[in-house]
This record gives sequence, structure tokens and C-alpha cells, in this order.
Amino acid sequence: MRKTIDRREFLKLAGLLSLGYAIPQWIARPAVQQFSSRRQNVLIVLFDAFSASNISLYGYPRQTTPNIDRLAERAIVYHNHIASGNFTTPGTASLLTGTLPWTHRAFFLYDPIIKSLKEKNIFGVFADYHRLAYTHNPAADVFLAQFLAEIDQLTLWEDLYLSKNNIVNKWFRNDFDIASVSWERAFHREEDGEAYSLYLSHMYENLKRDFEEIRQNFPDGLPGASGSHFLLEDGIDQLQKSISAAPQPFLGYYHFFPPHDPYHTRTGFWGSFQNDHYLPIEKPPHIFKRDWSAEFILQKRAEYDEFILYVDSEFARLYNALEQDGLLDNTWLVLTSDHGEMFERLIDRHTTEVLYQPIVRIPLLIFPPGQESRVDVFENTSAIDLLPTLSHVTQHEIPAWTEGKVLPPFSISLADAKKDVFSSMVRETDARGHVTKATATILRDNFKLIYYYGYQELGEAGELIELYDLQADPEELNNLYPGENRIADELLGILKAKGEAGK
Amino acid sequence: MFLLSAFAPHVWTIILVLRDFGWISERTNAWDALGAGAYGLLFAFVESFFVFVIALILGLFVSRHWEERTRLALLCVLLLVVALWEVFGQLYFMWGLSVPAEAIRFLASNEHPLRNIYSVALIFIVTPVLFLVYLVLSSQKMVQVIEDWIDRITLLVTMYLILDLVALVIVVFRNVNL
Repeated sequence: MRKTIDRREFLKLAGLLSLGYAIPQWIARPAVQQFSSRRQNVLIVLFDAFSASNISLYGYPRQTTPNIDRLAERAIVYHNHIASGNFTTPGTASLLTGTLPWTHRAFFLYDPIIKSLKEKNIFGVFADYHRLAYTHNPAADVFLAQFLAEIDQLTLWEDLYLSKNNIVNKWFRNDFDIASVSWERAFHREEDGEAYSLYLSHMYENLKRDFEEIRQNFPDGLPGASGSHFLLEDGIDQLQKSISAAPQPFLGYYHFFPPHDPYHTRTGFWGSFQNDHYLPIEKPPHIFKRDWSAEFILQKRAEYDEFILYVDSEFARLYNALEQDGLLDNTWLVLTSDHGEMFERLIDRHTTEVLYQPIVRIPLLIFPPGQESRVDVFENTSAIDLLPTLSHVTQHEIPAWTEGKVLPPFSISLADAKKDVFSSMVRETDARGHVTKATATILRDNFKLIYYYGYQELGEAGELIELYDLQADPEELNNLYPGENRIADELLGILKAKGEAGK
Repeated sequence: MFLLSAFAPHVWTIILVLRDFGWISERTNAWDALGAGAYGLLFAFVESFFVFVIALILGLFVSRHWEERTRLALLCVLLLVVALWEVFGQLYFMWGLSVPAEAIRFLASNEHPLRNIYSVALIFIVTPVLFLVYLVLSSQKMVQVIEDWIDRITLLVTMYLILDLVALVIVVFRNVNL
């Protein structure tokens, strides 16, 4: 039967004409498989706190991702993909809604997105698909609970934990998150040797030794979040089982906690980088530095890198299983993260005021169905672009409310390919919800401007501006501000306008 | 006796709750940080009850040969020493203390290092207990000092119990209204 072209598709094709302007940039790229279908599955696999800066695929000197490096030969690899926030809440909310934190307003841990966006999410876009979701991370579970009406098959976050906290689960179900935090602080002393409880914490630790056999495989303790433990293997197995049994086409969103701290890797990976004498480029302590020693940060970096080895291995296991099941022939597989992690300038992990590249630059690999060659994309891209891109490649209508653009090489206009990318971290809002203390960053081409405002630590003005040329200075060591005034003023103006518009 | 049992768990919980308030409120908000503290106080109350039951059982083993105020002083001393050792055990990690290398070398110098460690730990715990027990049994003045101290802390612990009540209200409110 002859296919007719409606007005919308015609406009899409017309938009493609503008690609002509961008051809010189992309001409060197191998072609992406051009077939796409509304019946193709989508599977998003997200590893929490997975920084591109610590991934060997992106040039990290330690071989942290040998399997992903190999699998990337069949993927589109995004080299400058930026998370919209520096921790789970804003980062995940942006990915799932295709909007920036100023719009979705999920600024603080466990914040939901604003009510007006509740039905505007990736699951809603794929309404004709069977939609599955799971997250290890209770902060991300807040969103899945919000989107429950649009999810056909939701696995509860604690269902894949080895031990559920039955007391908290049973008695404080309505306040589970905070009750869990307090329970852990009261009775769990394994991590830092301290607990509110002086005596019962000893008994609790002994009771928790049920998993001694499994524990032997994890010299630093079992991987976990909110004080409970899980195995990444169980998460991957559950994913595979669920999607194998799911009606097609499906949209799967699986958000796994590793390599988020605590960095408890498996034997086989444990100790891999302890004595390799690797020393990262030395960077000066930042004004928001922590009270840690450089040696401590180096040790944490090594532990994080070893945890990435575990993630890499499990992702490869998943990939192989999908391939064996034949699912990769008909599935867009996406590997990404919600935010990064950093170990420099005497700052570790991601709960920090800074937005340097290790914190915001995250991996993005898209494995199109049947793709046999690698495509590298070096443009700045944003986590909010994933929703419109997946909508586009599966022939769904790109929602008008998304602030993201279709990613290259699928971009439908030059404006999509060349655009500003944002990330932000909000520390305080006033009673009216106006942001009063925050850090925000904007990337345009090779320039990156970071704007800190509302911080007492920054003196009377309360603000600090940093400008980097990431091409000449990828390590962000040479602050060009107050030089390069023209570009700095322009980028700062855009950032301030974003903040104002977000009020 | 219950008030005595509740003293150390509550003091330690309150110190750590105040310490945690900043980072929890920074990540969520002050109400959640208050909630976390409220749960902490309730858990401290439960722990106090356990300590009380154990102290009662131990009390059965104290000879009736001594008068009641001496027996109470003895149990109080025991609770205090154990609590101080537990607090020290946690401070050891919190302050990042470490045993001097010479001491570790000494402990590991023969074929049974674990036996040495347990022996040393026992000496450190038993010595102050025996010393204080001796003082209580041999000096009425010491008994009087402990009684005065008990009078003061029971008043303080009564205030902690009022805080427990407030904590209970907060916890109920959070679980009913969320």
C-alpha cells in the first residue's frame, strides 16, 4: 500500500534540508542505520553517578570499561553529554521529562517534579508501548511513583534488595525515606563506625550477617543504598526477565545504583587499581573543598574506578543476553547516567556546589537496532535531549513541552545540532520558590561558564564566575574570566535569564 | 533505674542528631531533618528500655548484703563505664584515631595476636570497673557523689523523655499526614 505523507512528516522532511548546512561537520561520520520504526523497542539503562571522566572509552587512563569500549564499536558515542544536575533528583527529572531543572523544579533530594509536568514525561510519550520501569534509587522512585499512571509494569525499588527493612517498611511506610535514613543512622555502624545506638547497633550488625556467603564476594561490603543491600546481578537478571516476557514494543527504564557510593565492588575487580601508581592531573583546592586529604580522595577514586569495572562487566552481560535473545535487532538500547562524580580539587563524590566536567559530563551511548559501526558525536548534548530523540527515532510526536532537541546524527535542523547546554545545582530557594543560592553552568561550543551565586563563602558579592575554553583547557584549570568579556557576558546573560524565567 | 538506663543512649543520639541536622536539611529540608531526629529519639527510647531490662537482670546478681543505695550506685557505675567505652569506641572512628604502630607491633609479636587484643581490651574495661566498684564499696562519700549525680541526671533525662514525646508526635504526624 502506498504510504501517504501528512503535513507533519512533510515539515520534518523539510527540516532535514537544513542538515545540508551541517554536512561538513558530519561528513566524516560513518552512517547510522537509517531504518526506524514505530514498533521498535526502547531500553534505557542508567547507572547512577557514572562520570564520563572516569570511563576509559572517553580517554580515562585507567581501563575502567573494557567491555563498554568494545561494545561501543556498534554504538553512537556522545563525547560531551551533559547531565542537567549534579545529583539524582534534578538529573533524573530532566532525563524523564526532557525539561531543565528551572522548569521541572525538582531541586532538592526527594523533590517530585511540579504537578503541571506530572503527565509530561517519557512514559506518557510512549503511550502505545508497554512501559516498564525500575530504580534502585529511592530518590528516582519518587518520579516513577508520580508517573505511575503511565507505567504498565513498575518493579518497586526495594523488591530487588536482598533484605527489606521490614520494621521501617511496615511501621513507617508513609515516611519510608526519612525513617530509613534515621534507622540506618541509628543502627548501622559498618560504614563509618558510628551510630546513634550505643548497644543495639552491635546486635543489628550481627543480625545482618545473613548474607555471609554473598558477602565474601564483596570485600568492602555488599553494594547498597539507604543502608539496604542489593546485587547488581539481580537487577540485570530482573531486567532481562521482564523485557523478555513483556509485550512488544516496550519502553524500559532501568536505573541502577552502582557506581554510586558506597563503592563496594566485587572480588575480581577489588584492588585492581590500588597499586597502579596512577596520579591524575593535580588541581588546586576549590573554595568549596571538603575537609579531606588528597590521599583520601585518591583512594576513593580508585575504589570508584573499581566499582565501574563491576558496572562494565554487568552491562556487557546484559548486552550479550539481549543479543542472544535477538532483542538488539529491534531495540534502541541507551546507556547513560543521571550525573557524574568527582575526585579532584579536594572535593569527592557529587554533593557539592561545583559543576566541573567530572560532575556533569556523563556517558551516552545509543545502540540503534542492527547498528554495526561506531559513530562519534562531539557536539555538546544534554540529558534533556534523550526524550525528543527517542520520540523522533521511534516516530512518535516530539512533545511541544520538551526543552530538549533531537540529538545528532538524528537532528532535524541545524539549530538542533548547535545549541547551548545547561546544568544547575540549587542550594536554596526563598518562600516564594525563587532560587536564591545556586550554581549554574552553560556550555556553548568550546566555552563553558560556571556561575555561583548566593553563597556567603564568596564574600559580599556572594557570586563567582568561571569561564573555560574546554577545547584548549579540558581540565578546567585556566579561568578566562574576567577576560573574554564578550562571550562571558553573553553566556552569563543567558544563564541569568534562564534563572529568571524559571521563577 | 530506667532514667539511668536512658541517659547515655539519649545523650549520644542527641549529639549525633544535631550533627546530622545540617547535612540532612541541606539535602532535603529542615522538616525532614527534624523527622530523622525524631525517629532517632524514638529508637533511643527503645534502646533505653533494653538497657533497663538488662540492668534489672544484672541487679538480681548483686548481693543483698549491701544496702540499696550502694547496689544502685554499683549498677550506675557499671552502666556509666560501659556507656563511656561504647562512646569512646565510636569516637575512635569519628576522630580517625589509630592505635600507635608500636602497640600494634607489640600485640602482633607472638603467635596469638587476637588473644592479646582481647586480653588488653578486657584489662582496659575491667580495671576501671573494679576500681570504681572498690571506691563505691569502700567509701560512703563515693556513694554520696554518685547519688548526687543520679539526682541531677534523672532531672535531665526527664527532659529527654519529654523530647521523646515530642518526637513521637512528629513521627505520628509525618506518617499520618504524608
